[in-house]
Amino acid sequence: MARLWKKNAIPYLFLLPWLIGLLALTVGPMISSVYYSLTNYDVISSPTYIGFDNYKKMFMDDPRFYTSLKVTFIYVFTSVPLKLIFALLVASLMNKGLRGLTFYRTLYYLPTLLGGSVAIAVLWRKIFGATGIVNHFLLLFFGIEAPDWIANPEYSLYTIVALSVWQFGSSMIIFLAGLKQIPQDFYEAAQVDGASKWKQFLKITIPLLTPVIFFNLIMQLISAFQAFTQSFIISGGTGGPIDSTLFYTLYLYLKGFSFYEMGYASAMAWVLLIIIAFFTFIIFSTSKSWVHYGDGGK
Amino acid sequence: MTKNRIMLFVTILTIITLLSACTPGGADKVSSDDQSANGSKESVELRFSWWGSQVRTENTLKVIELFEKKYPNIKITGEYVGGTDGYWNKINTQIAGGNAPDLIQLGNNFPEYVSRNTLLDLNPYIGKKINVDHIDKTTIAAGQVDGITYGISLGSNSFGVAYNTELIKKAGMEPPNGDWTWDGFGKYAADLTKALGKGIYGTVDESRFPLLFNFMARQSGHSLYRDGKVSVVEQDFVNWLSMWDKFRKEGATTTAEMAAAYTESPDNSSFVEGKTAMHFIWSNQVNAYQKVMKDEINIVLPPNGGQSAEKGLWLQPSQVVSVNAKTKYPEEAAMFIDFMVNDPEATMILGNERGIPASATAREALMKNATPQDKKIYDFIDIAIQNSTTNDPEPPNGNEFTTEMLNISQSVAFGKKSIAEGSKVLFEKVLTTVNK
Repeated sequence: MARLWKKNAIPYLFLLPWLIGLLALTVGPMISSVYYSLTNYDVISSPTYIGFDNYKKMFMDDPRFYTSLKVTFIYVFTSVPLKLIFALLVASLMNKGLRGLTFYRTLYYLPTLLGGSVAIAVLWRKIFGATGIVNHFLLLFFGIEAPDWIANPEYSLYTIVALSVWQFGSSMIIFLAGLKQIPQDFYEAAQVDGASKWKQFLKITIPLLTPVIFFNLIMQLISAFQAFTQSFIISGGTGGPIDSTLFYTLYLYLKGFSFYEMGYASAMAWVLLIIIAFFTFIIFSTSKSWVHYGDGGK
Repeated sequence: MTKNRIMLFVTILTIITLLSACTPGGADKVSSDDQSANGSKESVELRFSWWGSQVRTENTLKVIELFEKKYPNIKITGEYVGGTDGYWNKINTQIAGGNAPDLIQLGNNFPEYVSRNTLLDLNPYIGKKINVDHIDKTTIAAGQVDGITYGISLGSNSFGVAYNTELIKKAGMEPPNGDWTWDGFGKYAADLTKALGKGIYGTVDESRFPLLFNFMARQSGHSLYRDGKVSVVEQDFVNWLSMWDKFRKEGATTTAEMAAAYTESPDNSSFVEGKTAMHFIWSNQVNAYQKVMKDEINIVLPPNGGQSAEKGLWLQPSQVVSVNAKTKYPEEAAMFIDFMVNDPEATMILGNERGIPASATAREALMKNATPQDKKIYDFIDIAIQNSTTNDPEPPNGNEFTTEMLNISQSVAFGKKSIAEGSKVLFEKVLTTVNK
């Protein structure tokens, strides 16, 4: 044991700063949040233990909790597929060997870099507002008097979905890398056999790309469940109009920091963790039937 | 082997140095203990946090600079938030983390912080470090709970209806004089909308604001929160929501969609953009609104409840400055408070942006040098005082009620909820949040 320590001491020492960070900033808060979720805690005074009351209240007696779940599910199950399809489409086009490829790659990746920023969310407000560019365009070319896409509760969530799809860059880059891995002779062989482009795409590209699709799906799903900034900025921190953009994390934030219910917010955080874990598990467990690895999954 | 030992030694040393730089060192503590003994020769660092408009931030920073020049050993770091939205979250988080600023600007909600033992008892400093000779007793009382002073008023305030003089001229109408009932207000606004044409409305839709709802409730002798309990009834909400519904249908106020597009603070307001002609604002906000608008604005009394109604208006310290109970430098913090409310130069810089100053001498000096714009505010406050009764504290957990009110007002405006349903929800909500 002592010898082992001696041998590894230096690497461990170099690891120490990160390790301290992990323990103090991640593991520590996680453990205390389990405890807080079982208390009545108003942030300022000290918490009092109340058992599972927060969880009970959440499921039995809080309609806004269900609203926030609904909003989040709609967001996740529209934005993630749309984004992935869009990203794959653009990646396939770029894989054709465009001129100025690097330029386009940067161009399309840019929104992802700017993605979570406040400025973009503010910009979105301007674009989709009642007198924004989109409505200006619609009026000018089609004579349509369009609604305020952000202030109308029927559409507000979908402008945020659109914002998310627009940030397809990172998935696109990963798809592009995946596409480059597919050997050209597969396509050549298929061509000789007279397969159409579409058939090639369905029978060669998609199956060989499934590991990458799988990876992107998991990553995007997890981040979509945690979406916060866009709705926070666009709705002015309220989740409005009429709770139409009340994301789960936004409601959690309001509960914890605005309504002085940190205990309840902690409980919500754990429920979110379970929800994300559940969907990740589902995707993992079905992956055997649709993800094909070159080596047969070994 | 020895080489490895040296490497190990150096690494450990580096880490220890790094770690010790991160922890609060013992050296700081010693100096702070000395501090309280010999007044103010050691270097002291204080943090002061406030929320507010650009105007406020600029002049507060100027006052800090002035103070630092006078007391070179005291350094004050300003932590400010534009608008109130993020402010309370930030302060609450800091308090919970034991890292709150030394000086904290609070609103009419300061008793909430007193009840959680976060504020310092200022009584020992009053008359010594904080000169209150020129401050009215009632103004001091407004910062007290059970005779203990927890905050010093930075200015008194009332609210009224601001109107855009240009738009009213354009409509060919007489400007309002403030002698109007809610019905009269609604009719005036509807006439404005008609005269101004497409896309411009008489008034901002104010149905979402608990403050203004409370103003109307007080006219019938009720209040959201008085003597520690809720004294409004469900009917008050019905009256409020139906009134705005009527205004909306008559075209006096904006559409549901337009109302939802604006937060109606100086930074994001249909009034500022010239799309509405009237807006309820605090008297101290006149300058902040004027600064971001081309058209001249003016302020008059808000609608009264008619012949037999009570006076609903009130004057309140718009902001108080309090000291963190855990501050290391209570004396220096008190000195800065004194500087803000009494120093002639400082009070001139601060002006009436936070409301009419607490100190009588500061008020007189300001009035002597008042711009026509500021005169308007003083005149308004004079009339407001005559129409005011004692103020009520804000209900506890006010944020939660405010969000619900926003939600319900929008639901009614978009036709997603009936007025009866909405009123029921709001009434239940105010009861549950207050009794939480």
